[in-house]
Amino acid sequence: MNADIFRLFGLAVALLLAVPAARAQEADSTFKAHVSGTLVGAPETVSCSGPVKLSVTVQHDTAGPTNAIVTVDTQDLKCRGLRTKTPYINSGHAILTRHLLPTDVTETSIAVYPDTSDGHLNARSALLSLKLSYDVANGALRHASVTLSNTRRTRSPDHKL
Amino acid sequence: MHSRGTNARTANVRPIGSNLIFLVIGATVVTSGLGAFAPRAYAVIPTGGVPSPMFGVQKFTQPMPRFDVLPRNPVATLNPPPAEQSNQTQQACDPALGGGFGPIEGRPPGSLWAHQGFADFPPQVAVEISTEGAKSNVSYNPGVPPQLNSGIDPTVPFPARFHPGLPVQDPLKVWTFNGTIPPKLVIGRYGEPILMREHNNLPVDATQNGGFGIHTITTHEHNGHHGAENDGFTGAFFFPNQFYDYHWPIVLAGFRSINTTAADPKAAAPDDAGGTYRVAGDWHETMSTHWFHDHMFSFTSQNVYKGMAGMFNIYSALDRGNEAINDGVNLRLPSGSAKSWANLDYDVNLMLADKAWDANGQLWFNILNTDGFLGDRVTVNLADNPYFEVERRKYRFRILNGAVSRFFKIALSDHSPMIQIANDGNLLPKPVTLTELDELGIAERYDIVIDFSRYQVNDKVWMVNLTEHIDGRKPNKDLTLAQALAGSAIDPAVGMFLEFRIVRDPPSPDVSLVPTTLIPNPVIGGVSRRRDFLFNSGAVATTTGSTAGAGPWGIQTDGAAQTLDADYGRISAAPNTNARELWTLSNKGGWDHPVHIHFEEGQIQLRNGTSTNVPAWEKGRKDVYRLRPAGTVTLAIQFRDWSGTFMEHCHNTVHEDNAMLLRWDLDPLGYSKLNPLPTPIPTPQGVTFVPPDEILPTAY
Repeated sequence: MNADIFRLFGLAVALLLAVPAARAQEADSTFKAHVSGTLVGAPETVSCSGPVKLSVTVQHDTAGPTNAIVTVDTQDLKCRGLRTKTPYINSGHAILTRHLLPTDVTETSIAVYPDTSDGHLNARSALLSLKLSYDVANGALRHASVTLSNTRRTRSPDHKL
Repeated sequence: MHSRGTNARTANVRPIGSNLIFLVIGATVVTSGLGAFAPRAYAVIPTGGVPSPMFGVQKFTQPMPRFDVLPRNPVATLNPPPAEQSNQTQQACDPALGGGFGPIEGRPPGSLWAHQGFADFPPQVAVEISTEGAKSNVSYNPGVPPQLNSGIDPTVPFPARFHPGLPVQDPLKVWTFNGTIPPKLVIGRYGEPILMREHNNLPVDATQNGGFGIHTITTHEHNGHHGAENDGFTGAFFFPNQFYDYHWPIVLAGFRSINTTAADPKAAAPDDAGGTYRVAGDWHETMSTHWFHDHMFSFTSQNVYKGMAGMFNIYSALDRGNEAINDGVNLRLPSGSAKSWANLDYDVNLMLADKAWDANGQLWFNILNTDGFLGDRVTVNLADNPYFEVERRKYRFRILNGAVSRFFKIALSDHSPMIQIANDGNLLPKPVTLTELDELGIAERYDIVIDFSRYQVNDKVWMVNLTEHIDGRKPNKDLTLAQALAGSAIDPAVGMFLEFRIVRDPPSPDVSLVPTTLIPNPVIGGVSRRRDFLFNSGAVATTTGSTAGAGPWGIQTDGAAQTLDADYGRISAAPNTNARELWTLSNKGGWDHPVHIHFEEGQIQLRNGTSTNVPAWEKGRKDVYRLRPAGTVTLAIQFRDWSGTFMEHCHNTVHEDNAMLLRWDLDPLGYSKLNPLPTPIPTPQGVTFVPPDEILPTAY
């Protein structure tokens, strides 16, 4: 009985979601880049490889700089510890507000951690360096390259009390 | 009908609706000169005025105070006792409020605004506050000993100022709950209804506002599952010398239809002896981190900016605030263990709010800015750029964006991971580990866990804001951590704003957990209809009168031809009780709107049309939905248990005030057969009711 109800609910949700959104974004484009890289350090070196999907939503703003909302989707990125062969997973998404320029070089970071019951408590940070090429006239992402590496040490010189 | 905005009223006439803007402008000119709202000479980013003078104060030179825990008193301490219907005992009204006589309670009278379920959920705890001008705090209760509050001695009077090196605030500039800082914290638990009595002790003269703010108030418990009479409806405001009794039953949503016999051990609350007691409802709807703030029509931004904001921690068997009790239900999140529940030792509320001050160091606000107001100083718990001492162990931080128009994107200065466990009031289905949190919209809450055991004693690490604004319409861009630390932003609120000082090892081992499963989402299926709300500019006013607002912002409902200015007398939606609906919130413009739907939590199904765009940290229940420029969010939501008149609005409160807000009603559950509900019209002499100005054709 309950399973039937849930199936009916699911069907109803699917039908309603199938209705097109009331309106679309002014511009929306995606680009899939392959990334590979390693995280060096204790407890083991982690090697990562796979696709990173970049989605860009643009809205021209007559009263200010045109922004691009860049979604970095790393859900399909595969990582593995070189010593233990443990699979590692990651944060999944990073979302950045950027200015729309022909070329944008920026960075963000994600957490990478063992796919174990307490893996999220032992996360490490990975730096994603992005180089994005926009077609400014059309508000579209034309090319992207992404590299993955250790985050740089960013401690302030006075990080000690 | 009359033309709005043409009849600026005098102070002794009830000040409501858009006309009040003109009243306050007039009052401002009288009391403060044009400088209180005119752009200051040599305007700079982000305030549009001159930079706030710092009087030699440097960052990270004062401790961050914990919230001030409000006393939980017996209900018998309330005089007069609370009652189901508003107390209409008459008192003399001050001549500045029009004279004559009026009721002592500002809650609208009669059965329509009686506390729903008052007999079923009689108050067990009284929390009594007075909203008033700034004064020194002589009864500060941080809820923890000084060594867990960066050494602050709570017995020393706490002046109302943003830093010991900055001037004490004028009581007309800063208005807070109890008139004091730090901000206030209410402690509550499921199955223990609270009666929150708020006294309005603000100046009776509306012109005595320090240049911004209004002395009529209504307090929203964000996002309480309570009857609408306790929701802080924008048009149910009350006047100086009145009180308002808010009845917070603190029930699990679905209590009328799910687990009605209170048999489920996860639907429970902590008792005082290490055990639990069970309550009715759906434990998947358990909430944890709320806040409460003023919601005065057209003046929310100014009043919240003046300081009318506090937080509300709700405890349950799942999230009981005791990390040591291992009963198979308790999630054992970082908190402490000395008390059966609500330990604050390692569970810290953080309210972020940007502020600005004038040449005299007094709080400053630009009331003519309809894009959104930004401050150039970041305060945490109303302390300018403070430090906080921590032990080498896990801490939970309940982070509230209590700003008017600013978004924050938070990272730690060394790129270390943080574990996000909650979004808005709700624990996520699973924790999400991040090195940079998503932009935190106004009124959103992120609960995170930081493990300081990775550091050594005497280390320091900073919380850093990566999001730069150049105006209040939206974030301009997110900087990289390196850029933010280098100070390259044109916005002075970017960069380090909170310093953590790792001062010692914990006195006992850290036994707290962050389980891989927190609170799975409740099932929302069988949706009966969908509604569309477009958040837009170029709004028009189709109604007039005291309930109508004015401004460039508005909401277009269900594909209607026009985008409408706010009118709390207009019903834009009226779902059926127990209905489940899909609501799509869209943003046409290049700015951003964090949209708040009162009363019920929703689950985001689609972002920009697809489910894959919904990040892990948005896969729980939410009450604020960031649209982002040109973005859309489709959410599933169900309406249960209580009824009345609620709201939906942009929580960039400047947008809300000018006039991006709508009213939606829930069909009463037999408490009244009136349909549609009338609109309250408060005056110091009493509240009257009028029929709705307008009902949109798609509302029902």
